[in-house]
Amino acid sequence: MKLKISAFFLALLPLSASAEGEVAAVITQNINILWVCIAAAMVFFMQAGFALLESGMSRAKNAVNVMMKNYVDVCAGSLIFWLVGFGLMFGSNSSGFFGASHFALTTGTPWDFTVLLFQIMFAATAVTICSGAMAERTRYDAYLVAACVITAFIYPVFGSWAWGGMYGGQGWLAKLGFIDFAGSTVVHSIGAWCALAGIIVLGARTGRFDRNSGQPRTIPGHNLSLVALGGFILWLGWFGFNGGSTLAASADVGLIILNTQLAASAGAIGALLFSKITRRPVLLTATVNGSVAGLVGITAGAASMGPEFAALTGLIAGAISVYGAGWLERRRLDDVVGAIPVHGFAGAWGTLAAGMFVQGDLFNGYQIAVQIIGIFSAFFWAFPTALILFYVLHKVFGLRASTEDEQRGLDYTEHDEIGYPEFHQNVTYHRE
Amino acid sequence: MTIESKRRAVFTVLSDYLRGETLWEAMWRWQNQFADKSQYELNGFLSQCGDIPEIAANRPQLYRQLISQLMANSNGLKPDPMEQMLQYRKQQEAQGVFSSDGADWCQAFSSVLEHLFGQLRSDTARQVKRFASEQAVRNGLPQNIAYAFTLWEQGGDPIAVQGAPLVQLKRLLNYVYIGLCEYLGPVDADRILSLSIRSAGADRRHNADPRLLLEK
Repeated sequence: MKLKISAFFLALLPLSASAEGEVAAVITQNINILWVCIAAAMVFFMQAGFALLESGMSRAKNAVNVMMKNYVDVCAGSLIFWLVGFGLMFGSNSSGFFGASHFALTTGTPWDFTVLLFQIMFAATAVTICSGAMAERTRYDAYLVAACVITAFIYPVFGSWAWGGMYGGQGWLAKLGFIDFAGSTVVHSIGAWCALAGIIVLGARTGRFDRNSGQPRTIPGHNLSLVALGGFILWLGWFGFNGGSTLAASADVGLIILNTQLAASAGAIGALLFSKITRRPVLLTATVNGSVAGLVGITAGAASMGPEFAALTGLIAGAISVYGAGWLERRRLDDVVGAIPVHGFAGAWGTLAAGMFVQGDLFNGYQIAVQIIGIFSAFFWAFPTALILFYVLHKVFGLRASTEDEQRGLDYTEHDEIGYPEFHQNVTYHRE
Repeated sequence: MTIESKRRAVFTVLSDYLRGETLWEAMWRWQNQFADKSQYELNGFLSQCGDIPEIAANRPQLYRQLISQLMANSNGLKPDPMEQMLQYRKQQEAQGVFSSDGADWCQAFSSVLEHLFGQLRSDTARQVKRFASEQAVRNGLPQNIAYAFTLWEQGGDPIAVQGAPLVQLKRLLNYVYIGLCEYLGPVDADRILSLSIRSAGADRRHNADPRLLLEK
């Protein structure tokens, strides 16, 4: 506060050139910190978006459980990322494979704390992607253990490859020139590959696929208004996600947020068009997922491509989200909210697009090759590691809820609370 | 080896050490929890019966005798005690040892099943019943309940589950629900189960609250 007041008065006095420069630097840094904190708050708000979207797409009897997972993801994720993840991801990275300093950061510059805050929100986003895919049949405590391991280990290790080296050294992917501005791969695909491993170990919800023909059965979410509201909140939060990733209140923010807006809009249109062309019904859930896919897609290249390519990236990402959902269903993989096509497939596409559509350097072969290496290294790191994690949890704790819990709903069996005690139509539990 | 032969072997050995109520309690414990398990799990059964002094004091001999009876020819075994076991259960119900509303539960559970299967096409009902029966056996539901369900499935008389613990009825109902999920999908399964419980609740033939079947 003192610093701000003195900076204000100093600004009124005639100063020497060097003193003016110092004041300007202080003011710039403070504005940057302010912007990144606002962006962090917006990214935090995305958790509300995820919670609403995922809960709305689940059945009423599991609504509280989905909300709880999203809520506790942020709480546990924040503490664990502060204790372990941040150091592993951004600490001194001499090997190029993991950071080794700044664990449980308690002393540092104001900027250190600001970056830590912003990155905590990113970590929470990565892990919360799993909760939606694995909804309605996962035991709560086992899920939390998995979420902690993902935040403490799987996410930050890959993050250190692409973004590491803030305190010395450099991640091996970063050295190659990998472009992932705000985390299409680092955040979203990593979360999605973990989710893919989770749903493979878990298996589908009981009755999701016909016993004889294997045909998927639709299990509609309980509240599509929540889904739409969640989509809007995510969209808003994404302005902070991408805009804040400049880590500076710079002139670039305008283009980045414009690209974000265009890609999200195009994503929804892409999903809609693809649904029409392939003679599928135009669903609200698919449209919302299309816009989220557009947002995921543009996240890698928001700062490096022009608006026309941002729109194209989003359009294709939206189509991918619809196609990907069907692709998973054909393989009897039950992703409740479509997290894997939206965050995984669209994230991979967005990362590739970021290399293809670099402003002033379109279709650079080397860059595209680096992007492909990044996409595959993310998959081959996160997927098998998460597969082992979930398999061990399945064997040791039991990852899957019992069929009785599935019948009664996880709200009641896991939390002893009911999301909609007065409006529930099909009651499959009884609570005094 | 059939469950009946195993039951005869267990009865042959236990009846040398136990009498009356204690014997039938031990037999029902075996029937409900160990009848469909391998003979190597008999040690677990004896360990669970540690609260019966005669068993606690003679556990090693009992185990040896049980194993040898199970291995030996069935000619030397006493007859199947199932009739006597059921008689013992009936006496207990009459004395109110089991919930006094045992008959009510029997009616209520039958009513839920009637309403539930009444909503299904006959071929689907057959598939779901078969599925639930298989699950009941595979997942170790007490033999008498699984057997009662099979009889009900074939005959249509009220299901004979008097004295069955509520927890086991909940499990059986869950297997039926899973069958509904598998054959009709979870959305219909939720609707059918919910409606059946509501309809059975309105049924005046019993005083039990079928909603308790959905409790944790």
